[in-house]
Amino acid sequence: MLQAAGPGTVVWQETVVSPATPVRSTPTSPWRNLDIALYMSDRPDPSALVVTTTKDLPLAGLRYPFRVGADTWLIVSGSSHPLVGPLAQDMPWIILAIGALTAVLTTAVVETLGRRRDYASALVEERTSSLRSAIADLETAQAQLVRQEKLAAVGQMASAVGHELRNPLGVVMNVLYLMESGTGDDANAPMRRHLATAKREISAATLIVSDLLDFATSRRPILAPVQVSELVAEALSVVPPPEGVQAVQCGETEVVIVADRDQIRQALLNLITNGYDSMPGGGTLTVSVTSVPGSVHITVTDTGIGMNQETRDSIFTPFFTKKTRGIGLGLVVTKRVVDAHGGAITVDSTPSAGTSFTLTLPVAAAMVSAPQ
Amino acid sequence: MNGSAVLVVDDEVGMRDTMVAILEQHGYRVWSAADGETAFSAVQDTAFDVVVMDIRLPGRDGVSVLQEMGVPPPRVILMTAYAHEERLRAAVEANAFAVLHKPFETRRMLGLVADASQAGK
Repeated sequence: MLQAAGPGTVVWQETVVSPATPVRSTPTSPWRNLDIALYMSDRPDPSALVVTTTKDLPLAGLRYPFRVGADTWLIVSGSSHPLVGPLAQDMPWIILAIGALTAVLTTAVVETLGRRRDYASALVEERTSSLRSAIADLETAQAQLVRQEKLAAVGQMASAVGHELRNPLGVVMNVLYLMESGTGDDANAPMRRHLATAKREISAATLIVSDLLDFATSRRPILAPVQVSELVAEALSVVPPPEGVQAVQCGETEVVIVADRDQIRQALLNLITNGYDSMPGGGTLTVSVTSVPGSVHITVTDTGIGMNQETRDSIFTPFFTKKTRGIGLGLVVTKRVVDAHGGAITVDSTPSAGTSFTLTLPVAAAMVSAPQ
Repeated sequence: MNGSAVLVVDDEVGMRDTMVAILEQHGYRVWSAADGETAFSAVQDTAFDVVVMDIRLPGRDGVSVLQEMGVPPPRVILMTAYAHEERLRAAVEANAFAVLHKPFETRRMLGLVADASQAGK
């Protein structure tokens, strides 16, 4: 207060008035009171709260729901205190714009994360599938290895047993020959028949051993010129026909091919023996040799029981047999031998009428690797 | 009677004896041996026309005896109950007259011995 006064008089005194209570100043910026809450729900459910800028929940204000994938999210925007100042009128719109922008950004982030998750899931699924496939392949390979090892063991056993059996069989063959030649012309018919039976049985045993050996340890043909009709005659003499069966050889007599004599002989013995076995009631077995340009056909025909389609489809399967004796390897080995010579085997059969096997062999065998 | 000199080499006594009997029955003069070393010595001492020899023998096998016989060898027919492909091919390369797979048809063996003895004359 300013007063007019004489000397010694206080002319200015400043009065300081302290307020009894602090006065809250009114904020000049609306931003400082702006609060936002984000819910992973279409309602302001506290349990679905993702983020907020205030402790005063639930927040009253504008709500902006938006969709993220299959879910609805909610943004709530409001202020703790009444808004003042020049921007107060526009504030709802500003908040809405910020909310919308936040929603778009959140959607983009969540969508991106979702896609990355889907990609990662697909990748994991693909890798898992590859892994399963690899494990299955490994199991198959292991099973095959075990099977091969078993086959190898059988092969070694067959080789040892085969070698040990072939020698005594050979000795018995020689003894039979000596007995046959020793009996001379005086031999009676039953004795000759018994000797023929013994010879046939020895040949059958030999064939089984040889098939087993050749199946277990196949070898490539060792080629040399072979007179075909001579080989057919030898094969027919090795296995004399059983009673009631007549064996006939016909066709060309001067055909020479380049082949493994022992292997082709074994193939012929298999076909001839099968033919005999298919005629329990008797019949005729015919072996004919026909030459065509570049090849020779050896056909073994019987008038036996024949085969139906089902049997015919399985005859080259190892260990398949319809016979009462035999191990089901004869035709497998025969086909292998023919294939190794670059030839072919065909079959024609009619149930109750007979079967005809034809071996087609090149005159000069093409060297084909034997199956391992 | 044929009269050709034949050496039979096999360690199996049954096979050796029956072979000797059959060949003698057909007029051959027959000697026998039970192993490769004896066979090789016999070939040095006697001029055989034909040697019929098993591939698998104690000590050294028939193919190695054939390979060492040199030139001119007697005609050699090798017999085998079972031989690996490698030994069979070696037998062919060593100029074996024939390879007979046991058990063989006796008449085929006789035919081959006759052919071999004729070929050497």
